[in-house]
Amino acid sequence: MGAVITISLNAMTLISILMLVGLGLAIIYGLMGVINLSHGDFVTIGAFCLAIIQGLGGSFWLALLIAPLIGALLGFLTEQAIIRFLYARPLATIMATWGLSLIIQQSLQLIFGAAPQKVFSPLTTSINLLGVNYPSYRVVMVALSIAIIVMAFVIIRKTKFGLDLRTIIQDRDMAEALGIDTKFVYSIAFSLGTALAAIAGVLLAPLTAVIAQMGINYLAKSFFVVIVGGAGSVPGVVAGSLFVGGTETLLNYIVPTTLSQALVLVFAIILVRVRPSGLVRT
Amino acid sequence: MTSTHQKCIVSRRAMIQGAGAISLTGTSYLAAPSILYAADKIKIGFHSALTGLETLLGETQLNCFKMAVDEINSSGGIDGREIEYLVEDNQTTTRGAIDKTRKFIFEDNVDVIIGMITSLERTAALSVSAPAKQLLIYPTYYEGGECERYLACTGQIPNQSVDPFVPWITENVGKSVYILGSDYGWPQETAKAISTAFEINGGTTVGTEFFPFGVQDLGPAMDRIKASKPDVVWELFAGADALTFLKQYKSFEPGGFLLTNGLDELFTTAVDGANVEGIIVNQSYFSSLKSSANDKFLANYKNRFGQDKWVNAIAEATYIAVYLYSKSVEKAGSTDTEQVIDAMAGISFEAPQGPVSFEGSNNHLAVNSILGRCRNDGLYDIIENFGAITPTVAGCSLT
Repeated sequence: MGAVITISLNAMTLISILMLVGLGLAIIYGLMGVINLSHGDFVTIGAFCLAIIQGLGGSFWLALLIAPLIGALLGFLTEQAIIRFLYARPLATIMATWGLSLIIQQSLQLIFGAAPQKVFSPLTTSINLLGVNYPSYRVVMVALSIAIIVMAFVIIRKTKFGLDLRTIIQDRDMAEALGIDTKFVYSIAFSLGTALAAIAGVLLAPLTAVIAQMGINYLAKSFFVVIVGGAGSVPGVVAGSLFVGGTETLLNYIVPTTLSQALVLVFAIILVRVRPSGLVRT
Repeated sequence: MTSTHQKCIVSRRAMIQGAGAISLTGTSYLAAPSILYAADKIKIGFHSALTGLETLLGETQLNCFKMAVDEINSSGGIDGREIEYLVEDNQTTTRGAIDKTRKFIFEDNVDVIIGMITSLERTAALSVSAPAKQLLIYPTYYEGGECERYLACTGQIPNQSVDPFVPWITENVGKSVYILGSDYGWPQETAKAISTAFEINGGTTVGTEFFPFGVQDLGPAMDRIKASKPDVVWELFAGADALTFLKQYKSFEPGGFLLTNGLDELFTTAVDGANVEGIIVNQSYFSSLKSSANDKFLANYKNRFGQDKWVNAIAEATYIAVYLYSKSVEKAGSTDTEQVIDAMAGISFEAPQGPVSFEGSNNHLAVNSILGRCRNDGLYDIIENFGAITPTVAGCSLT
């Protein structure tokens, strides 16, 4: 029984990591169709925000509030300066965002140096869950991830902004004809995506090395989650994360980690072959 | 179709240019009288992990390289010849290491190549430099086993790190070990040396596992450590992944005393002290060593690169590499690669870590083997110094 709980908690941790990073990308790539290769770097920006705020004496929770604002602001500027000119040219977007990614990484390294940034976990104790000791920070991270996913779901399904966004995705020209300010909605949606990436960065920082290149590790996986789950919806991200994170963790108990990551890729390729639109069809 | 066609033209043009360059270089060598050539500057090519997985180590390594070159130049150069250097970034990749090694040898005509962090960079660079009969000096501690005339190593190999460390562990800490590391050459081969050493000293290996670069969740591994109840956990993660391990190991506290030969000041000062306090590390150098040579070395470094900065063993071994080359050229009286390599054997001097000497039979350096216990500030209290140990590479006899 104890083993089952630990395995589930470990799976939940990886699933949460994937959900957090995948969610912002699902909005930018899944909903807007923009292939944003700098998404991982907004995760890095979030983690650096935490390091800076903690360095100045601020708390982890303060960073959790400020990082998404900075992520949103930088995302808004990126959209205004680069992305909005390229909606009709997906290939150019790939090049532009890849360039942006390199610029962000090198700028961070030039400003802060190559040494990893120091961050402190807000919780260092373990809690007892159904007879199993598990690090409390991980439990909090899982809970916050679920809360963020639910919030994103509500914003997209229940608010006027969400309705506008979904209308634009179905038919941009018609939406514009109906009086929806499509440019405004797109720039807000892009900022929302980068804000979510920055939150992910803050939440991941206590588990990993905070360096200028950390985002690379998350980029491929998050595209993976969005494509497997079904591009274009919040439930798709949840399904994709459950599939990728769950399978990887379970396999990890049977075969070496390197092999389990490779096997997940194989399963994902088979899955995309069988269900080309992903686990959740829109 | 178009792109294939264009590629074809480009490669043909590049080939013609390349052929031209080679013939030109050949001519200039033949034309230049040897006295004029000898009066030139000495050119060192440095390439290392300035971006990618090992970025956190590459920066300090480059700093120490520059510092050694500048010190030698300001004291009159090598036999009156000034050293000039070129710096390239191999991005911690095999491809990058091959490209930059080629560039240094065939375009820049460097006299020696120094640098690199991971074994994958070294192996890649060596595949170009050894056939070209070009000297390469590799300063990072590694898994051992290289027996190559054109490669000189100035970092620890397992008989200098693992072999003296393990008897100390089985006597003072415990006899069962769980080994975890990144999935590539250095951790895999070092793990074998660790298991063998534990066996010899009456210990056992209760688990060994490796993880892909960029691993995000080590929860399942922590579970397995907990289940196998080792006395000792030995970590061999590369670059940034080592910090992921340290943070997650601390949060799970799966049991077992953490120790390694793969951590240093640059890692442990970059995380919350609570994550690293108490870890015991074997290295050839620690910033906290007390000696006049190290005091001077560290003071110079801090004056130049920042008072809050520290030097690790890899960077100090890179500093040694430049001096080793400089002393070998002086001894040989020439930069001719063959003569320099012959001159290296037996060179010894006082390094920041203590006395070191070069073993000509396998082209490795007799470096120190020192145990440090990590403090809350990420620096190390020296708890044992095994002194300089002669490197051994099985079956190797280069002289």
